[in-house]
Amino acid sequence: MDKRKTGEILLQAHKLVKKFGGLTAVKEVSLEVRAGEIIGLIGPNGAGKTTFFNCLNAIAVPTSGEITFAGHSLVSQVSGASSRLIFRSALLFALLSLFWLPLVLGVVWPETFFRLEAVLSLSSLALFRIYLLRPLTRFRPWSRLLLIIFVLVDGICAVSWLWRSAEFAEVSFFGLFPFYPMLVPGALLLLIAAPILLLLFNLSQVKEAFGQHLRADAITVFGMGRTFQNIRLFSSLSVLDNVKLGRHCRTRANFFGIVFGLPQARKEELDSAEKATECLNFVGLGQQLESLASSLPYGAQRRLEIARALATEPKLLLLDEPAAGMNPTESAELITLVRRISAAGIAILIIEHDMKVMMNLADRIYVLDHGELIASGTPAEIRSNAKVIEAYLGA
Amino acid sequence: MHLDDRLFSEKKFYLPLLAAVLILPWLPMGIAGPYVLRVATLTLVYMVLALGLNVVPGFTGLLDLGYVGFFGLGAYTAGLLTVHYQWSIWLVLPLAALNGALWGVLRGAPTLRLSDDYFAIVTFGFSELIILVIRNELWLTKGPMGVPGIARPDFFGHVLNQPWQNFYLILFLLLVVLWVVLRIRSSRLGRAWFAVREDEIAAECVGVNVANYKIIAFALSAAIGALAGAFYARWFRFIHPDMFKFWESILILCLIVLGGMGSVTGALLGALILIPLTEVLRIVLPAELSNARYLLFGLLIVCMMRWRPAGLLPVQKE
Amino acid sequence: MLTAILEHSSLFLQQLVNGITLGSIYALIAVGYTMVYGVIQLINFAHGEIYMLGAFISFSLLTGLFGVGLPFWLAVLVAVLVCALAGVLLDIVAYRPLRRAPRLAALITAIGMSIFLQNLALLIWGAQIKSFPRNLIPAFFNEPALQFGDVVVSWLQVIILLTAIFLMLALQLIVHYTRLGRAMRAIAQDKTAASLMGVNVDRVVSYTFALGSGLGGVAGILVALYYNAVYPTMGYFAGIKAFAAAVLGGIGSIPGAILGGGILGLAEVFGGGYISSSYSDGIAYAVMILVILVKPNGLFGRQLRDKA
Repeated sequence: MDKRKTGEILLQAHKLVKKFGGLTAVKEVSLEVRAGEIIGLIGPNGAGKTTFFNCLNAIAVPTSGEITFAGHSLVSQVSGASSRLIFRSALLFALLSLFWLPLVLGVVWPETFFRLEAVLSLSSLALFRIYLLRPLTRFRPWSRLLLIIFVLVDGICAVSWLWRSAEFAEVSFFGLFPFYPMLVPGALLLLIAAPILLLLFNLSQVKEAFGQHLRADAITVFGMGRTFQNIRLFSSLSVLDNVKLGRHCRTRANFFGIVFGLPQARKEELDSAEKATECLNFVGLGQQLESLASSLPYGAQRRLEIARALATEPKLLLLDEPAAGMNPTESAELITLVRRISAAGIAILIIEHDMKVMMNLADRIYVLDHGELIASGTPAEIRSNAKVIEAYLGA
Repeated sequence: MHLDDRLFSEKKFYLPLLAAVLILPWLPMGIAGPYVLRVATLTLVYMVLALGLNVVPGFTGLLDLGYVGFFGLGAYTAGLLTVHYQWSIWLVLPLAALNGALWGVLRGAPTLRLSDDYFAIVTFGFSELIILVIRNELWLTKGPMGVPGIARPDFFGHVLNQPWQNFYLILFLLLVVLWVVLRIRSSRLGRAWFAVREDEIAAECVGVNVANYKIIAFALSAAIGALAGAFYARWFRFIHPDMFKFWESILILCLIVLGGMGSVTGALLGALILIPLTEVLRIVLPAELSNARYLLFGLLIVCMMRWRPAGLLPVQKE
Repeated sequence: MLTAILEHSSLFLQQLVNGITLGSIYALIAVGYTMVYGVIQLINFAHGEIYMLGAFISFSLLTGLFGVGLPFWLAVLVAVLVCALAGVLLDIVAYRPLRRAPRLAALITAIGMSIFLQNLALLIWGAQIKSFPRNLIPAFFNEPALQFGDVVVSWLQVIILLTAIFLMLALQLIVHYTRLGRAMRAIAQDKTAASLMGVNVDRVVSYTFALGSGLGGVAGILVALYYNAVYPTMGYFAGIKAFAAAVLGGIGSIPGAILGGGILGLAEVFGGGYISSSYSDGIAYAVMILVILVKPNGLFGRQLRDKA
């Protein structure tokens, strides 16, 4: 047991907070897991255990707090973001000005030009959406200003497009815009309002984009695997394919490698089949490779989910109530399985209702109640902790 | 083993099929006259389209109601490039596919977070917009006048004038597309799509970058649609905005619903049943009512969803 | 410049009147989409076809195509009732068996029904555009009700607007102050809980379809009179635009649908008038796509689904 405690710190959550509207589901919870440890997370229903898990692997975005995992900061990844953002926006502006240039030089046939520009202003909007949707890392507040500038540029392009389309269509301007004196202030108003509206309407998205941390798939690559409280298997795929999917993040083959059957892609495919079978044998499902995941009995589905998580080669495995709904024999088997995983050197963070199970299994236990960490320590300490007894027995 | 895998991995299944298709143009004129060959070629075009559409609703589980937009985009890309520059089809096909992929990505990128029905609506609106642009931008597409006189496909400087030559050309394209789709389907890429279809959250948690894989699916699907469109333009030699109406999207959707969403064999079978049927109905029904054949498709879709939602050749074993 | 403004102000006001008329019709159709979506989370693609049926049935009853020629108001009433019934049947035949099926299946079925109904109309009535014989509709419809200078508001426009306002108010009363309305709102919140509390879900959904389809039928008749044209594909375009209006307002929200309809009607008329008439259909699509991309919940929508 001492050997485990001296392991390096694998996961460290510092003052993690998650709010849903007015409800604070997780209140300043700090927790650490060392390599090779089995850590229990217990608490009554609705204590925020699953929400805490979701924050750890970025299924939910924490409202504040820090998470460090295996040397990676999961929430506040600022480095590199600014330069990437500046580069991309400079590129976009350069592109935009490129399209203005021909008109200035009088080279391009005007009609073609304004159509091109319209397309461009639309596509720059599309590009901008990509920014919003796929931010790699956290943006600084001033990048909000950039957002406004983008929208302004798009708006100006659109209006100037309309404006010139009247000229080039050889229609008198009034013919096309009888109400242009009203149109101009209207357009100006729109230009000012658009970014504000965007920010207002889209606030949650913008917020998420700017406060973005790494997403679940990236965190899986760092070595955090998990299972779910309500089993989430790929139910219409075979058992083997489910676990092969766990190998996904450890394989590299791309579209062309796959289509042309390059040697590396083939080797990877064989490897992942082999490793997946290995994982399935480990959890005792080696005989049912071709069955559909949904056709397995309940307990086997839980083990399949664990096998899938193991296939991602995790350093830390998050188990969300793995023994829920199991009979005593099955849950005893499960405890053995957890011990075997731990013996293979994988740290485990486990949510469990059953106190008895946890007392036997865990090296240390954290207790959550109403989103707050009320106690932490060895099983013996927790057993005698007054607050814990109150949370479990009282009210 | 699934039917798909069996059909395409065991020689005794696919060799007779391929042989039958290969000798089709050489059957006696009574059977394979120019008309029959035309229908056969059209069927193969729709097989390509069905395979392409299948990638998005079948593999990633997102309903695409605007697939005809990419078909039209490919047809116009190929048609205009051919009319203006007289390029060879072997240059035009990849360019059309690339253009399709580009717009597939442009359409797909903003829709990554949308749920199923909203995604369907956006795809629908997008394809309607494509067709509107084609109809109205006279300077580019000649709008409602259509683009006539597109050169026939060519092969090393030789113009493919004969119907059977075109038949073999589209057969070749179909086999290429089939090969790509089958390879991808049984790879990590295909599995990632299935994971996205089954459960996005779980997919993320096993390390699948959901956004990336959706984008790849959009690009591939759109590229295949545009490829079919490009062949169609060169083969039919005339394109018109009315050829790419919403109905066509529904028809293609119907093919994969009939065959079974996500099933490659099913997509092929759907086209094999429905497209010749469409042609028969076109002859049987009076000209004024020829559009009413879509009535049957509507009914077919409803009945399939009611009684056999997994299609004729379901992917999953029961 | 001032003279230019004055010259065109009448055009502007006329466009405004036309836009509001169109908008109130869109709102009537959009409410059908929104109500059904609110209750069973289904985009009822076939709703546009119900609207088309409303126009065709009133036309047929009026001209005696089915053997009986009814007086105008009776024909309208019967057509609306038939539409309501058609909506209920649509639900029972096509959607009810799929309540527990994946959403995608129901959506595909809705598209199938839309195609089916549209082509059924094509088979029955043919593809030609039909117009109401002038002697069979009340003569005052096309007479001006109000006139300011060059700006003319016809009686028909007044009737359209008043009908829309009246029906919307009635609908709001039904939704907020009757047992049925309460049941509808309960189902929208949580179908299982509602049925546990003794709400007969199937019956309430039927009533919802009846109400929505009836309003759609009214809209169909009004449009048929307004443009004096009835044709099988009319439901397709109007349906899509009304759906865009429902999305703009926030699908599931009735006031949202009304506002969305109004905005879309105005946008279409002004866009068609001032930007490009050939793209006036595109405006609806563009608005719809933009709203879905930027704010999927629309102006008044509640949060529909959360990830995870």
